[in-house]
Amino acid sequence: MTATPSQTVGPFFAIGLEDHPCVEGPSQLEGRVLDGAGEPVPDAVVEVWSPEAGWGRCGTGSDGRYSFAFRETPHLEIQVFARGLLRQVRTRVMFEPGTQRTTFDIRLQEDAFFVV
Amino acid sequence: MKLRPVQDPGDPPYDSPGYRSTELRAPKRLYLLPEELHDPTGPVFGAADVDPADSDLTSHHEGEPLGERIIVGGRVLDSGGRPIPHTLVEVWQANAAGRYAHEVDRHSAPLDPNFTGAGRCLTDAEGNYRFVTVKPGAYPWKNHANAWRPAHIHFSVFGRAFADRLVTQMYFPGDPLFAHDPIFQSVRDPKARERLISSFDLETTEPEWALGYRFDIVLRTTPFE
Repeated sequence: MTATPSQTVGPFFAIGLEDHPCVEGPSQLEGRVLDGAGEPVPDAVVEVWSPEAGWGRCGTGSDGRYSFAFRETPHLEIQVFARGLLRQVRTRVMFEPGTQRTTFDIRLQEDAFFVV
Repeated sequence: MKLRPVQDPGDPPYDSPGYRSTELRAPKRLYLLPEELHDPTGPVFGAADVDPADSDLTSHHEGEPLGERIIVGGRVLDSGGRPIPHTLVEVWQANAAGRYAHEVDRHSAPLDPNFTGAGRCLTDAEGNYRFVTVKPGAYPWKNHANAWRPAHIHFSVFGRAFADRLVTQMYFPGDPLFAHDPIFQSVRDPKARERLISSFDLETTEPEWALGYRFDIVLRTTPFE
């Protein structure tokens, strides 16, 4: 069947897409979403998932920052949605065992992303 | 690990110059997800995650919102046409006047104290979902001179795997703004664009109460056994 195409999440997603915490734990991931000019993206929403950490969602602040606290996991799948993104971008972050705090900036026009 | 670059992954291309916000945000380095990184897992939602009242957007305040009451229903399906049960569907939209209850929206149309415009529900065992809401208005945006968005409802759907995740917009049949909207037109395949348009549905329509629209959502699912 023809799949339903994606459309941008737009600038007003916060009305419907509430932030959601991961499964609680000592690991932390934080960073900024940055556009092609290196400016923070204040209207992006970052979602993460792994079987261990569960699912989390965090809208970026005016400084483009997002953060998650979660149970230790070998990796997190990441998807980012924003105005100006007609589809989400996907990436993955891997963690060394025992890592407590990881900084991970998402540079929309410099970083490599996956397409499923 | 060898990565294979992707030119145009189908769906709307990220780089769509008619939609100005893509200029500094569309990713430039896209790779096909290597087989060994395919992850069939995803979040599972249950009845505790939603309140039955969440699916009636007209019931969230003291009074009823202004505008045309409508019912929007349909099914969430995988790419093989099989229903996806118990998956989370989230919606958000402008009010009947074309104004979002969001501080960033500066459109001069009035807010409606009886309408926030957010809803959610789980699909049932057959993949069906249903919302009661009001028909959203068209609204202007600053993409180009005299730019207006066709009336739409934003949809967020999960599916079985996190990789199935879809965020899209549902439009209404026959909207005269389709030809002028670079977001709708970013989907180049006319058949795929049709998938974004709901159809009026007499079966969903309730006599003496509200018109019904049907919007089936087909996820681009990875093979699943």
